Amino acid sequence: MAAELLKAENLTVGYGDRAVLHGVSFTIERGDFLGVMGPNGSGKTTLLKTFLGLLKPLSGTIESFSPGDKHLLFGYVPQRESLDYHFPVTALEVALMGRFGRIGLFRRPGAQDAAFALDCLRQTHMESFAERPYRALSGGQKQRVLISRALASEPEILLLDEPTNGMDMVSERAIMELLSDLQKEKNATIVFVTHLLSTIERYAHRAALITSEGELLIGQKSEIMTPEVMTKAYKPR
Amino acid sequence: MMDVWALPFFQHIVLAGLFVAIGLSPLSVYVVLRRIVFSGAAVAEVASAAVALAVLFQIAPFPLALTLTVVTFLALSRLADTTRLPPETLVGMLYAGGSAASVLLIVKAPRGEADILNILFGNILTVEPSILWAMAIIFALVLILQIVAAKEFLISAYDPDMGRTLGIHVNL
Repeated sequence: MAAELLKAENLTVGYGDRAVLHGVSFTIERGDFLGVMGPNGSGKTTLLKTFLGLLKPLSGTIESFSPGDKHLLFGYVPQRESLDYHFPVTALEVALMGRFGRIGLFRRPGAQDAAFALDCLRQTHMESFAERPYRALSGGQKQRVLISRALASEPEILLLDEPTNGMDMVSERAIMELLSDLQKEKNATIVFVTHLLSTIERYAHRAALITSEGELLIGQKSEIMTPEVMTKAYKPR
Repeated sequence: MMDVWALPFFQHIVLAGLFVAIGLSPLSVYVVLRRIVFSGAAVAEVASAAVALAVLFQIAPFPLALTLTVVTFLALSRLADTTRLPPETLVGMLYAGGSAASVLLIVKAPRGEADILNILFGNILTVEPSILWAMAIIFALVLILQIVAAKEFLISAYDPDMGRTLGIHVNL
């Protein structure tokens, strides 16, 4: 049996007093490749931010488990539109930000950190773009750089918010193939949010569906991605 | 033609301007990145309201203005984490609220507008050497802090959520 990394019990999440997801319980195990889907505004990103500790649960508990009783290390890939495109940083400097949590307060990244960040760019096939300005990269290339940045933090679990949003089919496929390879080669634990059912169908091992009623259904794809469940989840409120 | 550079007050003006430019321009990069460019205007309005309050109750304006401004912006920082409103909206609300409070309090103040305007708006032509020293020390500290904590400033401004997940304190 795989080791548990995250365990939620009777979890309610939302902003302020407004709950978007009510009383859900589930576990995420090491090596999981979980795709989270749901209608717009159903709480996919809110759930992800609660995993990350950026939002406090309105009620219930969420526990994380890491060897040696350390804090579970998350690698976060935000929606790339949330970052300022005009800021003059190179792809390598963006990837290097992933090392900041390991360097210590007021210390500067050293040559080893730069080498590690470059290696992460290599893993996402972006090594040759290391010195290019981040703003000059395409959407798919930016996404690869953000995945490199998340990898640079040496995470135990990768959380990605709409990693293929706004991409054409070729770029989308390339990103998902990259994640799929990372999962297979390193037994990485990956949770990604998407509104593309086909992406989950093709790549994820398990599926989570947030319904318009604020329920979370989680399980094997064959159990979740049925016409009956989908109709219930996506029916207008 | 008279050599203006020989005039002490002119030298003071140039030095004061240089200190402001050198001390604050690197910081402005992070202010733009966090999309709180109007926070400077909002600070001035909150400080104005505090000065008006101090004049109304006849207490020392500087300590009250400093305290109220710092407390207001710490509260704003906390609020930004718990609401989905964009930072520009919060700063805008503070700007409008500060302006309105200033006007209402100035009207109520017994010595009226003249005293308050004297306190609120300085004049660069009258900058004294003691003020220049204070500026030099404060801006040097600001610059040193930005150099020492460069990566903390960068991640806090560029991607605060990522910073939090890395365990970096992105808020005060």
